[in-house]
Amino acid sequence: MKENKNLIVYIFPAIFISVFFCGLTLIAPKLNFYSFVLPIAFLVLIILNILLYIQLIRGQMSRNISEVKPIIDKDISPAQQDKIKYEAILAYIGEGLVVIDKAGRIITFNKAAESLLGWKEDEVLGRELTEVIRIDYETSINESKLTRSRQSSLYFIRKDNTKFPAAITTTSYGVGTDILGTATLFRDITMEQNIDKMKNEFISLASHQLRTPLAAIKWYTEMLLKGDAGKLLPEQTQYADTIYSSTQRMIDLVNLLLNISRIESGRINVEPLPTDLKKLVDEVVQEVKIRYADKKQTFTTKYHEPLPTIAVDPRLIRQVYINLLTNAAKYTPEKGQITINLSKNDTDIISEISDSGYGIPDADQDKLFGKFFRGLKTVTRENEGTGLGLYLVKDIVDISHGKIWFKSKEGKGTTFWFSLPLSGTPAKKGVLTIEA
Amino acid sequence: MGIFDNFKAIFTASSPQQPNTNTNNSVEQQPTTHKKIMIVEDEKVLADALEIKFQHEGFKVFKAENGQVGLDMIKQNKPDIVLLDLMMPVMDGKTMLRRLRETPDFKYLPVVVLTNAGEVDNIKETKQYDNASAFLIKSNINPEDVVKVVKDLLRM
Repeated sequence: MKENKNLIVYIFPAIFISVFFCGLTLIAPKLNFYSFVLPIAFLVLIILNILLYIQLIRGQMSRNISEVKPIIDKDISPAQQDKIKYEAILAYIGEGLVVIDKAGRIITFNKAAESLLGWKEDEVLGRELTEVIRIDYETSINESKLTRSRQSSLYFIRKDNTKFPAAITTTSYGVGTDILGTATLFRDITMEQNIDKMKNEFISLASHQLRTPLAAIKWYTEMLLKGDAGKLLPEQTQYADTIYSSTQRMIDLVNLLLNISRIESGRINVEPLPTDLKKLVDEVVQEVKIRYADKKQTFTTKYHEPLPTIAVDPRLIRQVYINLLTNAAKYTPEKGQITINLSKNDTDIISEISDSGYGIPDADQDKLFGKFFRGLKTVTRENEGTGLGLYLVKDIVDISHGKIWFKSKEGKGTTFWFSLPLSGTPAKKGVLTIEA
Repeated sequence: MGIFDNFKAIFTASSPQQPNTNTNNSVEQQPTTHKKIMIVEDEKVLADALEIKFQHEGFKVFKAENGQVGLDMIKQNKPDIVLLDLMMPVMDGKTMLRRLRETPDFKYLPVVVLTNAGEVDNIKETKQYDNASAFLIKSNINPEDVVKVVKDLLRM
């Protein structure tokens, strides 16, 4: 019936126009005097036809809807409507979903689960979960030439006994304290693992390939400066000094990039040990003092007593102090003051590093922890920055479950604070360490 | 971490010092120490730099460009200490070290691992073998630092 109606709608204007044309050709010779009448009449008729056509289409659509609407309104309850809606959602989300009841039998198995595991829904409903989702924990040693990384992965085994690495989330559902079952969402992470592997290989390759020529330049320059090839003239010494320090900057940058990449890969080994932060700060202050000795700055340390030892990874926190104190020394003029204050409250140890330096312009402040960010003025004052130091600091503070913040006024100085929880940093088993 | 912590101060990049008045040419050998050092390193420029340095210090220097050659030369020349690169063709440093320790004569031969590898897994694995005496990142140290480490290990 619908199809017939469609035909009528399309054919009706066509017939009308054809009849009109035929009529016109018959009477046209008699209308010479009023020859403009013809085109106008023709135009009016076309417009009327189009309007009629639109009305008919609209009429048909509303008839279609009105045919369906009574079915929706009268035959399906709100609960059933919800069910239809959620089934539609679950059927087509990208992740596999398997829901089991209290007895461990599968009650939901969505389309994505079918395609990932190779089972059809009707094959698995009512069956035990463990029959269908078989798991293999594999310690795969990626035998690439450059990286000998070990990854422990969870693998799901398909119906055809092939397997894939999966990331899963499982949650239980129920009413009050009564658990009715669990829902497991999972997805195939083969691509992510491959990307991670490629990234690690690249980092390893880049770091090795970059570091080797850098080491060569550094070593030979050092040997020149030590007189291993004979005594240098003062000017030669000066040139060699410049080569050496520039090379060192490049090496520092490569190291920094490597450390950041290790942390970002999430594979960093966090090994908390009871650490005396006072001792750590004292060591770092000594190092920075020596390095910036010619600036004749004053370093003052103030420690809350007693300051408990705290379970943190000393290598990581050392890096934080090194970066913050080096920045303080770098961006403070000669004879400036740098203060380090360690204090504690109920939950954290707070480290405060304050300087009387150039300060950070307001415009730069919200980008400060960004990757490769260097304020314009800092670049003109001090060539040596990479823009990565604070980025790394924030990463480390984050994985140590601390917080970092600062206050600064241009021309007045800057103060950085970071907190470390007294409860310590949770250990994280990883395969990498940062190079301190 | 213990043993490595001791060398930490040595590894910190030191600022270049004024050249000393030593006018000895690098190529002259001065076997004053009667100690033999084996350098297993595939990068010629780095191996040569170490050779120059240790010859100045009075060591007799042997060089090998991969782990296989290194093993053979160690067995032949019986050095007092080995500098070992990790990433080399034919046989890498890790394998060579393992094979070395399997030989009773060389179970306790001091070996200083030198590497630029970005993947620190190698380090962990080497540590697990408990057979590397020291571990240095080439681009983070100077040849003079290597000399200090070697002399410390040989109690010179």
